[in-house]
Amino acid sequence: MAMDSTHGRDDSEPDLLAAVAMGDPSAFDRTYRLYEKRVYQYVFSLIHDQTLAEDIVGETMIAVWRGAGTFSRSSRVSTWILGIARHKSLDALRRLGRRQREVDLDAVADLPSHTDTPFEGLHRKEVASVTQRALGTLSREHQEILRLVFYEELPYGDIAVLLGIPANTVKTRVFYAKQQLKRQLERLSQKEPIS
Amino acid sequence: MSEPETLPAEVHPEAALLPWYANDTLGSEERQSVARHLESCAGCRRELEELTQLKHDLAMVYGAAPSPSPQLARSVLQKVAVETSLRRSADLQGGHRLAAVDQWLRSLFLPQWVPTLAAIMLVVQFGLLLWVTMPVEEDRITTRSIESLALRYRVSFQEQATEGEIRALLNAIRGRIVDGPTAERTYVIEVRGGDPDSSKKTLAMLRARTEIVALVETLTP
Ligand SMILES: [Zn+2]
Repeated sequence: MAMDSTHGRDDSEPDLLAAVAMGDPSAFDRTYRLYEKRVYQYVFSLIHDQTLAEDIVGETMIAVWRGAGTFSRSSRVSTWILGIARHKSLDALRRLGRRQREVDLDAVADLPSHTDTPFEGLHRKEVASVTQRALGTLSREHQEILRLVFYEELPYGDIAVLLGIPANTVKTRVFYAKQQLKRQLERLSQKEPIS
Repeated sequence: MSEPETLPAEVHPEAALLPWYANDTLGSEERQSVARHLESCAGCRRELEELTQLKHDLAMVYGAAPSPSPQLARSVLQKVAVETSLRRSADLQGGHRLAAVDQWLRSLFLPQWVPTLAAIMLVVQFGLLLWVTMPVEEDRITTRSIESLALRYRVSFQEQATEGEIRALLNAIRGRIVDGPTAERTYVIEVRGGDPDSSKKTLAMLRARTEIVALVETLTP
């Protein structure tokens, strides 16, 4: 069965990381380019602060450079890297006193709704816009787990390790997150004016 | 979060696995059992269709999200380049003894305690460097004769500054850490053989490296 993979899953990533562990800067360069945007977006989704997110991505990637030798191959490379980033993000949130932890509803409300586009089924842009707004109404936990399953394409066992929760909780949380997202999508699609 | 820990009774157990059937990460046994179930269950087939569509829409949203600024890549890759060259020069020049110590120190550099440890280790490494490279007699004489000209600065380092960067900066100003860290994580750096002119230069160099040095002030003797 051929499912479309978002990041072109690459079985050679553990070998790439092994080269990083040997101190090969070009291997690190490749690893960096593979992960920079993904790690940044993940971190940003957790802390909602651009500057801080960039700092954390920098720290994460330096930790990857220095700690590549400790990668155990028991999970995916992406799980390992995102795990470092998550750990650092949660540390930063703790330092900030969690004030930016909750969903940024203002930012969600500011998103354009593309009301002046003629309706011919939902355009790509409109779908993206509605999906983004629907996502924005979900809890941080729901947003995070949907990203890990559907964008990072991680196995449920890896997600359980990454989030530090039982595999069964991963399954139920994804189920309810998807249910919640579907409800919000329906609500927003009905509100979308049709000319 | 106030959601149940279990799925609603009417949901088929296979349905809970559908997100991972859609992202193609199930083990072969689970994948086959879901595939068999899908053959006979229209509800789960519909659910899988929804999930596949959702995965596609989410990829569109996430794919369009902004990237970090280009400076980030530059600063990270630069940091790695500096560390690489320091590692190499340590291997080439320092011989076995220094390289082995360096490697051991490096192994201690777990991310959480880098900044504090980096500075503590600097003292150790610098001392070691002196021990390895400097003739003892001469050092003693120099220390005495120019002690009055030693200039001191109170410095704190950025959290993300690496051991390599700090070491390179200290080499550049010909300084060494003589005290610290304090509770506020500041250190005292001593630069020998300074005059008022070179003091200004040193201060300017320290102040210019804001990515390494968080705070610097001159200490009056
Ligand atoms: Zn079913």
